[in-house]
Amino acid sequence: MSESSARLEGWLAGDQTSPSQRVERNEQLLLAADAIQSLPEAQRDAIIMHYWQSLSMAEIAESTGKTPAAVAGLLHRGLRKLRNLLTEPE
Amino acid sequence: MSQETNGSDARDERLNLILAEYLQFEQTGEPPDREQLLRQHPDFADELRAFFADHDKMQALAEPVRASHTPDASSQSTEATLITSDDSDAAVDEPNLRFQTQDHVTGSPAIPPPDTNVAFDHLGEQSTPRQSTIIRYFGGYEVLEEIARGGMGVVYKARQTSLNRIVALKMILAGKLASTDDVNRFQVEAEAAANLDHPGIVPIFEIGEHGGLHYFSMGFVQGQSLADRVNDGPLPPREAAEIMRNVAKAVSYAHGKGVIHRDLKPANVLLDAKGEPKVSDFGLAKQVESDSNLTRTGTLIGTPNYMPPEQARCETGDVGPRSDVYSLGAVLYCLLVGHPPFQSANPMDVLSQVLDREPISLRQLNPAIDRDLETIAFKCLTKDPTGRYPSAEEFADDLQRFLHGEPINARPISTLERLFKATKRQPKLAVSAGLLGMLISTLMQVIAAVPALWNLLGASLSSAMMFLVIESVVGCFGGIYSAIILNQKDRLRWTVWITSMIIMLGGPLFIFFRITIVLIAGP
Repeated sequence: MSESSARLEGWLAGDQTSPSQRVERNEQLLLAADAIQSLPEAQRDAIIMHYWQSLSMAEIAESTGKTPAAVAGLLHRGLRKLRNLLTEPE
Repeated sequence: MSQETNGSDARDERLNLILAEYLQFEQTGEPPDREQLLRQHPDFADELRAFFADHDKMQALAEPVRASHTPDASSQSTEATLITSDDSDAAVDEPNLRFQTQDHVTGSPAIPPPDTNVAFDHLGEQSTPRQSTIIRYFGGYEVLEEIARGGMGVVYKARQTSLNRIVALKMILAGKLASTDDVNRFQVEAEAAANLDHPGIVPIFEIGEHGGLHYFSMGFVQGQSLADRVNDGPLPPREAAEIMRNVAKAVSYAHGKGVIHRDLKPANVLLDAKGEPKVSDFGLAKQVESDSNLTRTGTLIGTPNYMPPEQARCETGDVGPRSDVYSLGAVLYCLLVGHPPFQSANPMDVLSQVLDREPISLRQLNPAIDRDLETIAFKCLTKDPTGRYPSAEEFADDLQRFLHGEPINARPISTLERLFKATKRQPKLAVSAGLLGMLISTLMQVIAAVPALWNLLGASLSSAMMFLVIESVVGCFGGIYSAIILNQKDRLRWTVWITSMIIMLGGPLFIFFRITIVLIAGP
């Protein structure tokens, strides 16, 4: 999973939007990537699989051995934690 | 303390289920309405709102990376939304391959993100709706274009990459197969249907599951469906009869293999390039349209226009070949006059009509329709399954006889039956007629009683008066009963009908005996 986040950072360079937008979003993405890295492992995995790898709930449930409801719970808690991490400056 | 923890656990669990269902539906391209969800779960409104906001932000943020799954997404329709699929042919037999090979994430060029408003704070404005992720490859199929979209799923024209053939790929929407039991039944049923090999049946090639979505691939038929044909107007009666004869033969073949269609309707009959009908979606309706799903999504899947009463009542045990015979008759009806036997904007109205009403006579709608053809169609549309053709084969045979100008087996209904059916079609008129009849009958009974009264006067005035009162009361009761019976459901109707006949006839018989006794014995 950490590989995926690293790849996320690598991807930033290839972006094609206007320079200012790119800088802005790159920054957001870097912040997000850092924040995601700091999440508990289960939440981090669920978020990366769902949002970055576009895996379906059923697939995530299958690969993690959890129920779809439990995966939804991880996503919910993970997003909430991310929001706190990203809105409150450290 | 521990109880409080349990309470909050249960609450979390409930919220998780709501979220999981939302996310699953979202991935099928048909996310539930958020406002409605908030109204349905007011106790979770705050959590849900926060989640949706975070969820949208995260999706917008991840969008560019997600889009790189689908290199050519911009050329596709933005409406076709399913889950993003993976690295094409490599995953033909290994749906979960994506878990091992993640390199493709960076392998494809990224496309410009549609949305840069991704400030990840909860207080910020809702981000614009994300662009749908588009599938290009699904399992071993290359998706070419969307053909149709229904309550059950989406049908795509696709190319099976391993065999390089064009197929119709039907995806069952996630959540339509509620439990593992449903999934298993779907598999069994679909496999049975896959064994059908008949020129009048669209073949099923493969049944499978990919990325949590169940799908099956079937022959791609270039041409329009009967529903499209009927949209242009009713078919000439002979052509309709020929098409339905061929459809019935195909259905009869499937019945012989133990497969019941359960959802025959014009949209499920495709006409190939030569105009030959091919029946699709055999035996697949049952699991997908089961009752639990009706309540789950809150919408009626499909229309009950072609559904026999036993199926409309969800008496699944009674659903058999004769149920398909009903639907065949309903489709024939539709081909002949351009609309199904029962129709209404509200599916519940249709349902109640299917149960209680008789369809309008075909010849009333189009006098050019042969009486025999009408008789054949109406034999199929009998409410009681035992009144229909016992098999699709016999329906086909009777149509064949009609086409050859031979006498048909179906017996036209008698005048009495026709009258009885008319009461079901126009209950209000029938009630008025019934009441009028009873009024006349009461009047005649009173008149008939007059001579007897004169005879009886000598004996006892009070008993004669009593007699008159009884007569009137009996007449009134008869009238009330006749009004009631016309509003009763099938089973009760006969009981009440017989009772009221006894009451109606009882009065005059009583007078007759009194007069006889008076004449013989004297007053």
